[in-house]
Formats: sequence, C-alpha cells, structure tokens
Amino acid sequence: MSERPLLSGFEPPHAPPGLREAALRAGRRGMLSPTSPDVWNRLWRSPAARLAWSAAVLLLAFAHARIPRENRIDVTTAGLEPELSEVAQLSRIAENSPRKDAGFTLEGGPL
Amino acid sequence: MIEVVGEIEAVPAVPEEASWAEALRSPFAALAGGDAQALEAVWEVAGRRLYALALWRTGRPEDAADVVQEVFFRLASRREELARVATPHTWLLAVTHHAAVDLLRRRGRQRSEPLECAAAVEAPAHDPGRRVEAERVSQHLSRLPAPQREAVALRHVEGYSYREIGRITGVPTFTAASRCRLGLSRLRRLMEEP
Repeated sequence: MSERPLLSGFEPPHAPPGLREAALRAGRRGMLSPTSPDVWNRLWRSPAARLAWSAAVLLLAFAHARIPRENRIDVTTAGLEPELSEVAQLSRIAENSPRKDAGFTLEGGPL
Repeated sequence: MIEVVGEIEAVPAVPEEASWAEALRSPFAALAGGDAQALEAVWEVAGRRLYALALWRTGRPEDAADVVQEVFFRLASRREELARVATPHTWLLAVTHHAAVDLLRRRGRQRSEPLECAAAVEAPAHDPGRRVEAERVSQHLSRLPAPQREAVALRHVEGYSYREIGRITGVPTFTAASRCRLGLSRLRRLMEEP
C-alpha cells in the first residue's frame, strides 16, 4: 500500500490529436470577427446609456441644489403609519439601550 | 491501492505554475495587438490545461474539445480585453469554465446523467507504472458531481489555491473549499469500495 496522498503526482490529461488545429482554426475565425467589447465598454460607448446616466446625474444635482433642506422628507417624522415608521428606522445594536416601545427586552422577557 | 492521508491534504507543488502564468503575458499582449500567430503560443502554453479543465467540468472528451474551440474563439473575439487582464491564466481558465457551463446548459444535460469514464488524470510521464492507478482514479472521478470533480482536480492535480479555484469557477472561496472537501471525501469512499 502506497502512502502517497490521493491524486498526488497525477497529471492532467493530454488533449486529443487534432484538437490543436481545430482550436487554432476557431481562434483565427474569432480574429476575423468584429471584436465584442465587454459589458462596461458597451455601456460606456452606448449613446443611449450615456444620455441616461448623465441625465440621472444632472437630475440628482438639480434636486439637491433646488429643494430646500427644510422641505425634505424625514421618513421617521412624516406621519407614516407606526408599522411603516418602524420599518424605516434602523435596528438598534446597542445592548445597553433597549427600546422602550418595543414591548420586550433583548433577553426575550416582557419589559 | 491508494491511501488517503487526512481530510486536508498537502497540495502538490506545481513548479511550473508561475512560469505558465507568466508565459501567457506575451501572447496576450500580441493578441490584443491583433497578432493571430500568438494563438499558437497560447495553445503551447495552455492547451492541455484548458482541455483538462473542460473535461473535468463536462466529463466527455468530445464536449471538452468543443469547449476548447469555443475558448479560442472567445479569446480572439474578445482580444480588446486582453491587454487589461491582470492574471491571464486565471482569466483563461475562467473563460473555459464558463464555456463548459454554457455548453452543458445548451445541451440540457442533467446532473444525474451518468458520465463516460474519460481519462480525467494520467500517470506521470516519469512513472508510467501508475497507469492502472490513474485509470482507477479517473473512473471514480467520473462519478463525482461536476462542480466537485472540477474543484478536486483543480486543487489536487493542478495545485491551485481555494481562492484561485473560486475565481476560476465564479464562486466564493469557502464554496470552492467546501466543494473540494466534499468531493475528496466522496472520492475517498468510492476508492475504498472493494
């Protein structure tokens, strides 16, 4: 019985004869085809995508400049239903300050 | 008979690893510049490894051959990208993996379909006496699920790290490690069967 680890020393299989020529033919065919740019280049070069993202940036900048700060909506005080307001608030992670309105403690018992 | 040593095995050193990764840089740069002759250099450096990965994923020599041709077509038709590729060998193996997955998806192959017993590994050139052992290992490898077979072979035949296997197969590092561990464990059970 050998003490060699499993698969130790084995080599990957050789490619079958003829595959080299077939692969090179496929590669040459690919060289003749127009190059296909990757997705980021396609987005960058597309006039429609350029128009869309530049319009979005301009709209955000415009809204940021024109809407006065006092008119912005505060999701926690905008008169939302209590359930929705609950969802909009961030979870509390400080164990020393359990929420008084949650109806339970972090240990699972009633307040 | 082969003895399995431990769950996490020492990965065999692959001394030519760095050299084949480096050897691809020049052909990649030439291909990016439109030099079709560089395809031959890519084949010489990587052809066998690409075929092996395609075979490990698809389980059939004829499918693996189709995958390799598709990889060379993609390599040439996406030559604009090549100049920006940081690790050519990982990129090439990832393209091979995805081409194999695409081929299997196109053909609607079900995972449960039994695979042929292809020569998934070969005896080392300096030790042809291990040919029977290699055939037996290949037979058992063919019974593993494709993702596990691919991960085990990449790790234990090619010597890639889990991180590299994750990059090649498009999964997180822990998933790659898990596939290796499960595949190796299953392979061990198969090899211990009488």
